[in-house]
Amino acid sequence: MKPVTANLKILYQSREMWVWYFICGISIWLASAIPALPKNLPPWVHPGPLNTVSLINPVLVLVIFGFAVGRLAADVWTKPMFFCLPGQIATSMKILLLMGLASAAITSLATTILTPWMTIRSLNIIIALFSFYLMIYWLSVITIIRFNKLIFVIFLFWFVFFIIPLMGRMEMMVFIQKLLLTHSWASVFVCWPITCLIFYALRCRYLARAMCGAPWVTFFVGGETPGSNRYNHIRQAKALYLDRVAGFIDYFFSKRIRSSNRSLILPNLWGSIYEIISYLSSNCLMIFFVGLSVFYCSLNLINHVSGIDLQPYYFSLFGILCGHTCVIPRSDILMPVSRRGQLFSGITAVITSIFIMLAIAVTFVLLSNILSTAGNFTTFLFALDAEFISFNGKYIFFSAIVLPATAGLLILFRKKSALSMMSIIVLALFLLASDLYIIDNGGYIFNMFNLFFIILITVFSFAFYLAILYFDSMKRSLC
Amino acid sequence: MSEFEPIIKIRGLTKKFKKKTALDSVDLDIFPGRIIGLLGPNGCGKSTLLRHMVGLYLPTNGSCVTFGCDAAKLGSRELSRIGYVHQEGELLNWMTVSQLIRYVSAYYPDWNKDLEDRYLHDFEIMIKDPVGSLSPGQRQKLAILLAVGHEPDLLILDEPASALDPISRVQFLELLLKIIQQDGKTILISSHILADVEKIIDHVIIMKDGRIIQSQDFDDLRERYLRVRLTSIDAPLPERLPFEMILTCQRDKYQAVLVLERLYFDSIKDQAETLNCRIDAHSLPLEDLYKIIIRGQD
Repeated sequence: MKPVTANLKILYQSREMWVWYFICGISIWLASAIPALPKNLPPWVHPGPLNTVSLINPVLVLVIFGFAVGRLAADVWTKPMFFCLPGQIATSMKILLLMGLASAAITSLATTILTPWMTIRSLNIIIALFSFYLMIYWLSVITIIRFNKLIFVIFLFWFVFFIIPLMGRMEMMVFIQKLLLTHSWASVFVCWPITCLIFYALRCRYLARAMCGAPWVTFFVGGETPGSNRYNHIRQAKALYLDRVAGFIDYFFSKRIRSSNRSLILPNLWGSIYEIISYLSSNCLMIFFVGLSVFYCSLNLINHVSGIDLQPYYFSLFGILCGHTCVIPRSDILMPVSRRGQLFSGITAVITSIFIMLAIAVTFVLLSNILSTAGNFTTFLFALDAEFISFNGKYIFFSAIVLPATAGLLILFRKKSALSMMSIIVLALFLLASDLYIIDNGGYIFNMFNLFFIILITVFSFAFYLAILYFDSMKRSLC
Repeated sequence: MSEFEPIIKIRGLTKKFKKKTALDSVDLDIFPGRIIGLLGPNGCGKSTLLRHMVGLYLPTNGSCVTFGCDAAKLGSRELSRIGYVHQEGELLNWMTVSQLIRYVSAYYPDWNKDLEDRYLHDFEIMIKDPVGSLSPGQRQKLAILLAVGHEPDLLILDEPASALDPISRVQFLELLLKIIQQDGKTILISSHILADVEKIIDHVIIMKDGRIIQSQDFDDLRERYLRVRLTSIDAPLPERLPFEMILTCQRDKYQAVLVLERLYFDSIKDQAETLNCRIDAHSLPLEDLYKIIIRGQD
C-alpha cells in the first residue's frame, strides 16, 4: 500500500473527519446562499446570463476545497520517511493536480451553465474562468501547506467576514468579473504563470524534505497532538516579546493576585485575565490582528456604508471574543485554586464580560446617535459617502447568546481546540443565517412572544455554560 | 496534624478510564516527614495515583484524603501546602521564565525569594528566556523551582528528573535532601531512575497493574534480600546446585551469583561450606530489588 493510499484512510476512519464534512457542507451551503454582491453587472460588461452570476460563491467553494486537499497532502508529506520513498512526491502532486483540474473544470462549467457554449466568446470565457479557478485552488493549497499555523488558519477563517464585505465595497468582484469577461485571454495569461509557479514551488524536493517528519498542526484530527504542541511552543517562543508592555502587565496583575489572596474567586480571576493578556502581549502578530479587527469593526459599527449592515457579524464576533476570555486557562502547574474557586471564577468572568459587553453596546448606541446628528460624512477608509446607522437593539442578543455558548464549548472541548473552534463557527453561522428574524415580524403581541423566545434562548445558552462549567470544575479531571 | 497521623489516607481507590482500570482498590497511608519512592512499570498507575492525591483526578470508587480533606475538595489553604511536578507538564509557554515565576509566586504569600534566586543560579536558568524555548531539561528544572519555591509541606514529584543531565540530577537530589531536613516535610517521588531514588528514599511503594504490591521501609526491604557470591576453591561447582529458594542464579564453572531471601542465608551458608566454597553476601541495590518484586508477581 502506498503512503498516499494509506493516508487517504483518514478520510473515513477518523471520527473528527465527519465534523469536517459537516463544516464543509455548511460552508458550501452558505457560500451558495450568500447573495451575490454585485447582483447585476453593468450592461457594458456582457449581455446574457453571466451578468447575474457572482464569482464569490465558486471562489469560496474552491478555497475551502483547496484547503482540505492541501491539508491532506501536508498530512502525508509530514509522515516520517515519506521523503525517502521513491516517487511519492510525484504521486502527491498528481493527486493535487487532478483534484485541481477536476474542481476547476466542474466549477467553471457550473458557472457558465446558462451560457450558450458554442460561441467563440463563451469558450473564451470558460477558459478564462477555468484558469482563474485553478489559480484560486492552487493559491489555497499553497497557503495551507506553507503557512502551517493554526492561528493563521483561524484568522483566515474569520477574515472571511471582513474580506467579503470589503471586496463588495471596493467592487473588487465586479472588477475581476469584468476582467474575466471582457479581457478573457489577458486574464488567462495572468493566471497560468501564477499557477505554474505555485505548482513548481510545491514540487520542489527541498520543501518535501523540510516538511518530512516536521511537527504539524494537524487539521484533520480535531485535536492538538504532541507534535502540534511542540510546534506551538517553538512559535510562541520565537514571537517578539514586548518587554515594556509585559513588565507593566506583570506588575499590575501580580499585585492584584497577591492582594486578593484571601478571596476564593479573585486570585483565580485576576490570574486568568493575566494569562490571556500576557498571551496576547507576547505575540506581535496577535496584537496586530486583534488591533486591526477592533479598529475595522469599530469603524463599521459606527457608520453604515454601501447598504451592508455588518452589525450581526461584529456582535457575534464580539460575543465569541468575550467568550474566550471567560474560559479560565489551565496549565499543569498546580495552583492553590480549589475546584469551587474555579467554578465561581468562571461564573464571575461571564457576568463581568456581559457587563462589559453591555457597556460597549450602549457606548455604540450613544456614539451612533450623537454622530448621526452631524449628518453624512465621508470615511477616510473607503472614500465613500457614509451614513451613521440606527443601532438595532436585537443584535445585543447575538453577543448574549454567543458569549456563554462559546465559553461552554471551549470548556467542553478544552483539549480539542479545533473541535471547539468548529462548533463555535457553526453556532455563529446558524445564528447569522437565522438573523433572529422572527423578532421583526408580526404585530405587537407576536413581537413580544418572539422577544420572550429569544430571551429564553439566551437563558438556555447561559444554562448550558453553567452546566458545562460545573461539570468541568467539579466532576471532571483537571489535567 | 501529629507525626503519627497520615497526611494522605487512601482507601479502596479505584479509577477507571472507560474500560481500562488504572487503579484497583488501592489502600495507602503516607506519614509526614518521609521520602517515599513510588516505583512501577510504565502504565501501572503511578501518575494516576499521584494526581488523585492533589485532586486533579476524581476517583471512580473509594476515597483519597489529603491533609484531612477530601482531595477533590482541597481548598486554596491545603493546596498551598502542596508542591507538584507533573510528568511532562505543560507550563505557560508564552511567558518568559521571570514572568512565570512572578505569576506563580503571586499566589503564595510565603514564597521564598532567596530560595528562588539560589535555584535560578544553581540550575542556570535564564530568566529572560521564553518558557516555550527552554529545553526539556530546563523546563523540568523550572517546574521543580515552581513546585518548591513556596516550601510546601508535601512535595509530589512525578518523573521529575527524567530529562535532567547527571550534574543537574545531583543538584536536584541535594535539593530534596535539604527540603527533607526541615521538620514535617514529606516528599513523594515517582521515578524510573532507581539509582538516584535509592540515595534519598526511606520508604518504597511498588505498583503493578493498578495495585500496590509492596509498601515497605526501604531499609527493611534491603534487609530482606541478599546477593550471595559462591566461589569454588578447588573444584568446579556441581552441575546442579543443591540450594532451594533461590530467586535468581547466574553461574559459570567456578562461580555462582545467587539472589535469595535473607532468612535462607544460613542454610545456604552451611551447604556452601560442605561444597568447599567461599561465600560473600551483599545487600541488593534498589534496581535489583525492584526487578525481583516485579518478576515475583508475574
